[in-house]
Amino acid sequence: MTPVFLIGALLVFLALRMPVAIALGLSSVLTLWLFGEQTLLSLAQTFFRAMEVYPLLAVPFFIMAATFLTSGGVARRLSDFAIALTGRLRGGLAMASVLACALFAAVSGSSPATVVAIGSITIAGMVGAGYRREYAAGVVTSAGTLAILIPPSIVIVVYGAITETSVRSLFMAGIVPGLVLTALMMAAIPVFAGRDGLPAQTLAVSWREIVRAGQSAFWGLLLIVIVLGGIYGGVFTPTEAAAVSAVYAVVVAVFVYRDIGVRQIPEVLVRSVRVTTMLMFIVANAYLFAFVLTTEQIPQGISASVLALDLAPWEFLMLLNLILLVAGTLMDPTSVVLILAPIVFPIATELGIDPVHLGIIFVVNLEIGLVTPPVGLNLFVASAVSGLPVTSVIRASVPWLVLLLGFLVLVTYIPWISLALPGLMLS
Amino acid sequence: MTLRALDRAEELLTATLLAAMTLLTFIQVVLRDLFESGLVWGLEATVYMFGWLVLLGISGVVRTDGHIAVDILTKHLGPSARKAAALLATGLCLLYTGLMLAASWTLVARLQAFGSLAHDLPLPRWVLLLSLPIGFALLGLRLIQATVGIVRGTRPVSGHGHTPTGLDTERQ
Repeated sequence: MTPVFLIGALLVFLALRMPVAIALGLSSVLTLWLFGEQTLLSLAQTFFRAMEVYPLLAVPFFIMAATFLTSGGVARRLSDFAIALTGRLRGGLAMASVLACALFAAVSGSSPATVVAIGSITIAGMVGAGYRREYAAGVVTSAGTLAILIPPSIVIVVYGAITETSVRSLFMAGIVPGLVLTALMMAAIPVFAGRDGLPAQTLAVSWREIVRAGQSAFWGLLLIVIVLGGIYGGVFTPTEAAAVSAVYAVVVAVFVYRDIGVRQIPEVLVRSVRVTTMLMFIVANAYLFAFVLTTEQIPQGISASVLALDLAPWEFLMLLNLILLVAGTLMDPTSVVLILAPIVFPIATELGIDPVHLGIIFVVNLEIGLVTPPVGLNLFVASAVSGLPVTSVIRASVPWLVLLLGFLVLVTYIPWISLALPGLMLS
Repeated sequence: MTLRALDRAEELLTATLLAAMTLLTFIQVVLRDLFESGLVWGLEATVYMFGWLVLLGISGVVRTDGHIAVDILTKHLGPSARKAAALLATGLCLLYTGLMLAASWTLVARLQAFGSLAHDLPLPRWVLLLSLPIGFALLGLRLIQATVGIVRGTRPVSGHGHTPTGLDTERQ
């Protein structure tokens, strides 16, 4: 009865268009009130725990870094560097967009931020060079999803916190799949260009120009080294890396590239605060939700009935993927992780699925959720950036969706892709 | 107008908190890695600042209607049904806020009665956790403001959802 009430209330509240955070919180509070024996006091404590969990401190810092990097010129310089690298190839500009998204993903953990930062530069560039606008928008919409897979990633931080899995291992596990997906997307550029083909014109980029573009993008590229090198080298924790990259982003945007004036800093900070509180309010309420799940032993119940089905791990993973794909079309990635990870995690562990591998499966499903209607954030952001109607962006993203689904199958059934690097570096 | 002043104060305070907690964490890294020292109270201060940041910020996001909601159902309703749904939703949000406010108040009152102190900061815990009741009280205030707006018809009851506003673009 309790799980039915909890989930039922949650769905009704969501359908009423209540904020996801309050829908989660109220369904949990009411369940505890009606069925549980918890005191009011423990609710406030549980809510506040979201701010006390050490890995989650990375969230405001990564958001702040992303906001400064998006507003500053780092994205433009990374794009220029990517264009210099691939300009000689046919379809080079589109490949450069994918590469620029991957590079930006390695400094920022937010997918829509990546679409804005890179898309606002490369879409216009591609259209100017003779690509169809729809095609250009499709490329960036999909490549932008790399941001939640390639570390740092806010979705991964949240998954690590709620399932108590090492964020460091999860970050490492995202690297190889991220590189594979980047390569697949670049390879797909000529394939997906279709009958219209790619513009024949290529850029004659000299080595000197590549070096010069690399130098100009140096401060952005250095951040990748600092963040990833620092985390893997054990110099600092992911949370500390986030704070370092936030300070670094401010310094580079304000003092090195001078794209943001000192007087604009408060404005960018206020924007970061908005995004942070919106996200953390959901996370804090998800802690209430997880608390109800635990005290009412709901995952154990669901786990028992799923295990009673006697599914093979591969069947379970297929079922999980279907559930995550549906959830991903309806909610933003963080909400899906916060609601489903506490329920799914115990079952998956029981079936012998590695927690880190499970995390990457979640992330790749949610990448697909970012480009599928009705709630695919990247679609709306790309529509705003490209000036195309959302329906055109949706249509342009369909081939990429197929690619992502194929990639999901690979990641789901070949754990090695995710687990090889963490295994190698932690042994 | 006083509410306008409250908006500005919220923005100023939360932006300062974000800058302060970032700098504090950064300084901790520098102190540890370069000078092999550190501030004992650093982490605890960061955690409580984070608490104030989030709790004071929540109401600001309601004010700008930036919270993530799912609107696949309500967008098919007629205008008056939609208004009724919006009022019901806001009423339920107020119920949540009331319960959480009561919970926060109980916690803070209990901590004050016990006189428990923070680990490393020289402050009683209840003072540091005042962010909880204050945050929920401000949220309640904004929700009442939103209810009045819906009743008067000055606040749109649809059309936020997942429109690409500046807010959505930086959400992950």
